[in-house]
Amino acid sequence: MSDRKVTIEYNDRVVRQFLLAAILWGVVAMLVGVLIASQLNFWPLNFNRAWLTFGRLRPLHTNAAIFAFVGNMMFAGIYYSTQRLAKARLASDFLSALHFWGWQAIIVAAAITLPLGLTRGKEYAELIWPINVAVTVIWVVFAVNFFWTLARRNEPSLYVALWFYIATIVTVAMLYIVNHLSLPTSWTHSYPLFGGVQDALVQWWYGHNAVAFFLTTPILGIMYYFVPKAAERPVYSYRLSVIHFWSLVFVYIWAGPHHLLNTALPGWLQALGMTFSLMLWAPSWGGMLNGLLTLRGAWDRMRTDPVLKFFAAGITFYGMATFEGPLLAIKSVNALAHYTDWIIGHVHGGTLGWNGFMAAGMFYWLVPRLWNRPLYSSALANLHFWIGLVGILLYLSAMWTSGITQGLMLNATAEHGTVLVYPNFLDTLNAIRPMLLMRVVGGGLYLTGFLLLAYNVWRTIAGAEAVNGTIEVFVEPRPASDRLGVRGTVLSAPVLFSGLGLLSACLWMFAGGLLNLLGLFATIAFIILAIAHYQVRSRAWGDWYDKLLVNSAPFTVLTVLAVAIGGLIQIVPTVLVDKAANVEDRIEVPYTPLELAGRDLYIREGCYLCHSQMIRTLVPDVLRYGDYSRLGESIYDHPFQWGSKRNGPDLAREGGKYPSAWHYDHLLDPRSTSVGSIMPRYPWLFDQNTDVAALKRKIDVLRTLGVPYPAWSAADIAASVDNQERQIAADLRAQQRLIAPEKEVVALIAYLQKLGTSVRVQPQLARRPSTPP
Amino acid sequence: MFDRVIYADWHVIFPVAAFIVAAIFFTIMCWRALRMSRGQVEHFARLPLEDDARPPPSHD
Repeated sequence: MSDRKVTIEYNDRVVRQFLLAAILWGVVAMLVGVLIASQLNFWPLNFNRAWLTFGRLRPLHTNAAIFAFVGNMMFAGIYYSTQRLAKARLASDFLSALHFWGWQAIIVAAAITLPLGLTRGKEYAELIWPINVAVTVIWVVFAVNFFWTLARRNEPSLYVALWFYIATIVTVAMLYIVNHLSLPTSWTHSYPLFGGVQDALVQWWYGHNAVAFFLTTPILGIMYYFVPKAAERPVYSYRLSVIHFWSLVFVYIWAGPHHLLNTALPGWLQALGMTFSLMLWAPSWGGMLNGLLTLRGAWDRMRTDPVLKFFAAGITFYGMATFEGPLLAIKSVNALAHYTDWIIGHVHGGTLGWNGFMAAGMFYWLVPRLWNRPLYSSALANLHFWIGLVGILLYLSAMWTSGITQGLMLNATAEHGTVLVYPNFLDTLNAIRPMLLMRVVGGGLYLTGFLLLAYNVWRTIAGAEAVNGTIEVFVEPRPASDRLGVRGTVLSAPVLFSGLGLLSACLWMFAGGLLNLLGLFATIAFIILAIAHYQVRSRAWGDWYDKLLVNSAPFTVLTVLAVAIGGLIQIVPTVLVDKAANVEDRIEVPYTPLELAGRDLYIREGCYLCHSQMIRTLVPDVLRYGDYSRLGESIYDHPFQWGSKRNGPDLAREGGKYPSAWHYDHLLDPRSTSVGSIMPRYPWLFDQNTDVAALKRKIDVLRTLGVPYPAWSAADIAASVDNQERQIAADLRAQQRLIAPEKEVVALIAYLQKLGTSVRVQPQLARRPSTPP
Repeated sequence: MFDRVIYADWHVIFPVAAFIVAAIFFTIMCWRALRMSRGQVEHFARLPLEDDARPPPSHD
């Protein structure tokens, strides 16, 4: 051992900053959550103000909960534990500060733009493109700071928590960049590169894995570090944690299509999503049991120690949520649960129970150490635990009851499945009103508990001296024999055999004729050769793996490969497929300029958060909304608008169902046409003018993306808009509704009346039609 | 019946192939994890407990 002993002072300042920011934004996220839950009960709480409506605040709630609350909490936990596991101070104080302030600036920008209706119209990916760029830059700053710290570490071994952090950093970067690829039409607006089914697949590949790699893997890393610390004993089984990591990282990425079951998504992708979701049971429960069993022998402290209470309950909720997730991914269960509150309950079980309780446990453990003062009140922390737990349980039970009730009612048929028992959507909505109220009570209790945490932390740190942790380490150069460069990683028997096996398997699956046969034999040959090689050189295989455990760069490359394979197999065939040949028997007619303007208003107001545009291949859906949706019917939709929740009915075939006057009345006062509706009023649509000037650039961008618009001039577009506006305004006037043609409501009505109109085609003859202005 | 399910619609092979790839990966990782030496496992498991330079403050 070297005699070069140095004292390292950790950068705990940035940990404290992220911790306090997480508490602040947690309060905001939960407060907005309680408000929007109340809006679903009492529509006047939308206050007839555009920036306070459900459709604009719901993205604020989800983004604040995910990226502001869990994001800041995650960064605090990662920075604290990484420094200690690496026995090194964070590589750069400047990058740490840039990461913190940059992330807070992004959150503030989101909090301003989302209520203003500036959105990309994709769930959890709503932020406009300049903010997307900022997120990417700050994420890179985080990655550089993290990997630089690992490169300077004084502990050669990489503890499993660091593996989870590495997987988080590389996978979130990949998901975020792909799903946010867009072409701007202005500084505040863009259209996604993908459209229709491609956009749906990319979105839920991202959406599902945002849950997996933003809300799960970093928190699992935090679990593997902080639970042993709190329990004062090592993790129950390190071997199990290794299996947990690799199987979770490899399997999770494939499961995204389970968000699109029974839709127009190709069947093989649905089967893929369902199969891999069910496989997730094994690693998730392995990890959950590993976490809980780490608390063995510390159960006696559970009664008095709030930290252990929160960790035990948080891990239990992880187990519950990861049991429920695969259950909901079974196609027949999904037919009942999808688009209902059951999904909302499931998500909140994960966010409030798993993320929220793990965050609380970590905060209560960290605060006394970061400010060198005992927690102000353990009793208050225990009270927080019980109030929060009761709150979650009320919330979840209300959402389960609500979801199953509404799902059963919506799917109920009579007369041998030919007639709906509850044809009026509002009947099903009014049946769940008590449960919607119960959700407000549950959410309110959870928020109250979290406010107690904020008060407890404030009383603890008020006047306290912030301290940074220190450690004495012996600095010694790493032996060259431990290093594993890129060549050593790639030119190793395990990687070579895996790569060649995969290549030949691809040949077998995708190639035709002789190549197909060659692929089959090559696959078998490589498997036999790999087994034989392992028999002879098992020590070399073992040495390679042992080196992997102490080399972060090759480990990161292999993690990227593990997550990229699943993504590529799902997305590449769908993106490369010939659009025109995959429309089934209908193809969408591109929107007229006015309809396009109306569609952007639909997205601005967040209508997709309550109304789907996807009639599933299920009898009750078809009976209620009309013929099931075809792939071709949304092929030019950038972004797709299939939706994920029905607080109101599906709108895929809304066009022509009601006269324009009905839509006029409905948007002005939904209760005038639909008694018992919970929809907000939209009076500002009757005052504001349609932005015609922006349409030229928007249509040019859509042409670039493959939507078959002719090369219209600005004058062509203005003439088309003017013509259609006048027609709709005249139609409304004939029904005693007076409105100036240039008002936004006219454009939105044009869009709603277009929904569901398509051209019937023979699939093999499908071509993109052109629409004259 | 299986023959028809797998070959009549060639896309259906994806879940099967993906399952096989995942199962192989899972088996390899399990094998490697179970083959870790006891000393190595104990060293890794104790890493989070090695960094306490100072005990946490208490009310006492």
